Amino acid sequence: MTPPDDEALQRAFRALARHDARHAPSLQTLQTPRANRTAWRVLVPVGSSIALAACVLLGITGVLQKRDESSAMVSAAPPLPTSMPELAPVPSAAAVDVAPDAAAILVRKDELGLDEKQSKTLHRLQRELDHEAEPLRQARRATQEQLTRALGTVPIDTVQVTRYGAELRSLDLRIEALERAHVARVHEVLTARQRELLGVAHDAGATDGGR
Amino acid sequence: MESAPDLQSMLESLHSASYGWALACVARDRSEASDVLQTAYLKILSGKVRFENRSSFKTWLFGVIRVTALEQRRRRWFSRRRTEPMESEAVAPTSEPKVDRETAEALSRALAQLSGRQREALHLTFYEGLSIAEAASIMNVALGTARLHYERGKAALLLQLAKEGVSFP
Repeated sequence: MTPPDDEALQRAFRALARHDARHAPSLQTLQTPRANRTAWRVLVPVGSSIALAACVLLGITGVLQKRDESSAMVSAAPPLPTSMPELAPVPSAAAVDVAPDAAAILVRKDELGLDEKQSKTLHRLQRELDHEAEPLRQARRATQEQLTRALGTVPIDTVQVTRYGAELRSLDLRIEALERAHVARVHEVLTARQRELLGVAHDAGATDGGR
Repeated sequence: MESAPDLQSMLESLHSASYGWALACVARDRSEASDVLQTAYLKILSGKVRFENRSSFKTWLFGVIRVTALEQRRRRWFSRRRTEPMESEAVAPTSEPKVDRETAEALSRALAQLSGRQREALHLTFYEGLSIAEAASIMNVALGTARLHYERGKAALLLQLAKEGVSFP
């Protein structure tokens, strides 16, 4: 014997079955769009997975590449100098020319017997030298300071050190050239006797004190 | 082994029942039931699964639908994407008696509250008119287990219907 609850449930389930049957899609409906639906259901997750994998791969490749570049930069960087770079020796005033300049000669004016005209000329030459050489000397001092700073960096900035060293060398050569020209002109002012007293060799181009 | 035309005709004859069973397997979600049924049909028609006369065709078919529903449920966590609604869903049936519709909707809501096993046991016995032993075979559980799901499911369903104040004619 079926309990009343079961009978009621059976009736309800029969109503549900009729309801479902009315809403059931036909067999053809289920079979027809199958390919497209299946394709999308397969393609979307597979496509998403491939895109995700590609993103991860690109990310990893990018990170590795960046790491390689940085390590390459480290390996390509010049090794730290074990000793200070060899700079061209800065010529001292004595090394430039042993001959005294106008100022030194003027100090010994009485001893050498310089006349008024020679004194004036030497004063003028000294002023001209100072006027022409001073900017170069200022530039040299500035470059020297920069070179000192570059040498004080850790690690030593070898590129900057080399650059300032080259600039210093160039400035020194220009100053030396000026001073040589100045000395030559000073010698032209002096007589042979005065040059002998100064202990400098007679320059072939020099005149006898202009007299 | 059935030939293709036989298979097709057998599927057609059981289509309504299969759809109802698919609904029971997916907590009465029509869209998902359609998907499950399609997938199950595809498996059968493509020969991915074969009927080998170890049980009745209906038992075997329901087993395939149930396994397909479980597979689909496992995949659901990965993608909640729903397929487009079926054409039949867009059409509102007008010939259905109001009493039938209300009863069906109330029962459908109540069934959706039950556990999957309980819903399956009740569906197979009340909806399909199968014995508990046949239900146990389709559910792939022991007879005692199926009976337990049946009893507990029935009690829970009646309680749920009473909560909603539903009385059947």
